Amino acid sequence: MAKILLAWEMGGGYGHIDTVHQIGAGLRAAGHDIVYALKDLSRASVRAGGREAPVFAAPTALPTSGSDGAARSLSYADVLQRSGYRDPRGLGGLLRGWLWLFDAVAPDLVVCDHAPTAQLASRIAGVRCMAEGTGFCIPPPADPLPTIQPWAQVTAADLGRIDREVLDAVNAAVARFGGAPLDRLADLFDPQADILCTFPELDHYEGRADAEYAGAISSGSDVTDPPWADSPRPRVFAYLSPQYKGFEDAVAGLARAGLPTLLHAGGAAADAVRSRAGPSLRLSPQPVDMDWAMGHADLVVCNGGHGTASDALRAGLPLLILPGHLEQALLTYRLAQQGLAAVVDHRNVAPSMARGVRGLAADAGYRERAQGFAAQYGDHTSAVATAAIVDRCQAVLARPVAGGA
Amino acid sequence: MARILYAWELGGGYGHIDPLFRIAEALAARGHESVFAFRNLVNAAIRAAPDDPILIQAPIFLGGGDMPQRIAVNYSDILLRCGYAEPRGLIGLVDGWLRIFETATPDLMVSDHSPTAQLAARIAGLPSVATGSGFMVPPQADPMPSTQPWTPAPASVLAETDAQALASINAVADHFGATRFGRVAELFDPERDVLTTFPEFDPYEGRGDANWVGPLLPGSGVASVDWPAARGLRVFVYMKGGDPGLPRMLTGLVKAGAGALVHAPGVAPEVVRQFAGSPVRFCDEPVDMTWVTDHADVVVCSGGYGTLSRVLSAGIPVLTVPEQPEQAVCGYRMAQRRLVALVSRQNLEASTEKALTTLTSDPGYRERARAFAEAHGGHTAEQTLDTIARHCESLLGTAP
Repeated sequence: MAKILLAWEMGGGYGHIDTVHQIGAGLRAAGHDIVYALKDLSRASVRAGGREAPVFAAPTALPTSGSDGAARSLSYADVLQRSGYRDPRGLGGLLRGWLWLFDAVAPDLVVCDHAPTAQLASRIAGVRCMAEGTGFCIPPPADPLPTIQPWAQVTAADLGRIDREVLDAVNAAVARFGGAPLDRLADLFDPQADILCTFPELDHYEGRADAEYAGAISSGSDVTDPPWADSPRPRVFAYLSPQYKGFEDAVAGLARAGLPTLLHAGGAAADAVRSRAGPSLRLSPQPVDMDWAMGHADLVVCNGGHGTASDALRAGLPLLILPGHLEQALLTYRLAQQGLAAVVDHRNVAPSMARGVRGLAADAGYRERAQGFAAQYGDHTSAVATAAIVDRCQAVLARPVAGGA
Repeated sequence: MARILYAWELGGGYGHIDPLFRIAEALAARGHESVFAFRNLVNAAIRAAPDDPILIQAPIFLGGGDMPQRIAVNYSDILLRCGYAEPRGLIGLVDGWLRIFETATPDLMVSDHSPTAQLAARIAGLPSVATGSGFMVPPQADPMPSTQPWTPAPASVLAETDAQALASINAVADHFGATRFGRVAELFDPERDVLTTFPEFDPYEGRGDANWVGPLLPGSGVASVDWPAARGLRVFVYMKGGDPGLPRMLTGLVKAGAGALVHAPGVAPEVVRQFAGSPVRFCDEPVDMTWVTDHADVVVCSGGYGTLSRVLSAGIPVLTVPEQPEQAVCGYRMAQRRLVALVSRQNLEASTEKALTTLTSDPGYRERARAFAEAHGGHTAEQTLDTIARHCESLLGTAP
């Protein structure tokens, strides 16, 4: 039937990999030929096991030195600027990499998961394109693109300036390929084609108008830890990354809370955890089966990744979050606004974590709201979300191709 | 004529891009096509401008899994940090390179700091030439020797890192049905590989036969800067502006009575202010190295090969302040060979003063710099490029 390129360019971890693999499987089942272009081939291979479809390395910008600037991004435009969009020549390099791929693969459709440069390349090449992803990856089509720091004083002038700078770089780069300029940065996206892989409550942007929410896609794993599951309630499932600031204090706080806790800290030096752990804290180094873990927990502690937050709320579990980076901080802010998550104080992690865990375990309000969410989305599964995306892909395939370069 | 794939997988900045572009230019002048599979396409495109080379994203390792916490003890330990600690992940990276070879169909690969591309090339039967410094192109040893010769790890630790890296390499070989490797060093081939440096800069001792083709030297900058007046030596300093040791090192120079001209890109205004009124002058623009070697008594640098080659080729003594592991081990070796005086970061001021005194009071350093100049002073980048181009053509079977 059709040749579909699934592209992932930005962001980390396993969430994007798991999502595009599930979409790829759904598209293959619908009879299409799939090719992947992925940012992280090592993790993708660990996850996917057998080779079911060709995988290329996706052009991606590497962090520049002193890259904690990412924590200061004001909007999606700012994120782009730190991801290769500062210098039109550099952006041209990424575009050239994508266009080489398009030449090699000859896709009928490019499905983009946090892959804005693939979207831009698709415009240049005249190839059908659609984006799927969380709210963060598909900003509302506003001019300028809205703030991703709603708690800070970000002016319209700031946002406008950043949009214009990035738009100028984009158009200078596009011109070198003979492509048509964009009128606004938001035109990178196509609300008729794009589809949000999330729920309104987990949309990083509040109050998005006219959006289609397909619901979240979950990651898989099948490792369980029965001894924890048999311990007295309330039980805590914690999924924290050692790469973020405050990790060791967070672990100390979890131990101090004294409730039976299963901690998954992917890639952690086990020593760092063991030295801080207490009798109630069990470490699982393997990725844990989220469905199983959520099914046996009473509350979830995490860094605010979209996947974990979504899984917890769908299981009716309240959240305690220590955000690791800006995207997670934004989601945490949104969830806290809705009373769906409590937040650990990053200035005083260990005691705040200990208090937070005990407090959340005893708080009926958070539990009721989480259970309300679970009831509302009780019929949702990853398969439902995947099917919605596959349907959208087929609809986009049926449209005429937009003008190319 | 032939299509040549230039591969760059590990490391940062422009130090791998520039040499490969120059080699490609030399081979393109002989009629060959170039495609580039690079780690960082943003930097590559900026460097190539206004040209539009064919750019392909190289598979890159982005972390994950259990990585060793200590500083790398040898080349295999470096590999363990670059994807070789997780065999299934390494399979994914190699598969990505094989995909590139299948699509771009090169006749030859020229690589710079790209062990996984070399592994893939071996599996695919694609002839490949590894280029780079002695650090990037380790010797044919088993196990890989220590990269911290001042406190070498026990042989058992070196053997263990080799064994772990080799197990991953062979998991890849098995997966693709290729011949297994007997040792990590088989990623390299001394007959094919070229060392774009001088033997005096080898961080390893006792390397056997190798193709030493000399360095591709750094570019030029502005000249004719006024030297600050001082009673002692004229010292030219070239270090990163953000190097935290810079102020104390400069203080050491001043205490030794030297006058310093400093090119430290990105240096903070506070540091510049700190030396107002002292015989230290900061120059924002890169300074032409020929002018420097005509006017300086001593050069201080972090030990980049380009600067070292230029300066030693002119017979000027060098003081090095290494700021990363490769510079540290090369600096150590070169200090052992009395080619440079090494500054210790443990006590920068005193160490700088002492090193400067050693350099100037011990005639051995100036003698060895002169010997180096005699051996290599006539060397040009054009010679290196010509040698590499002829070497590649002989591998292609298209030698004139």
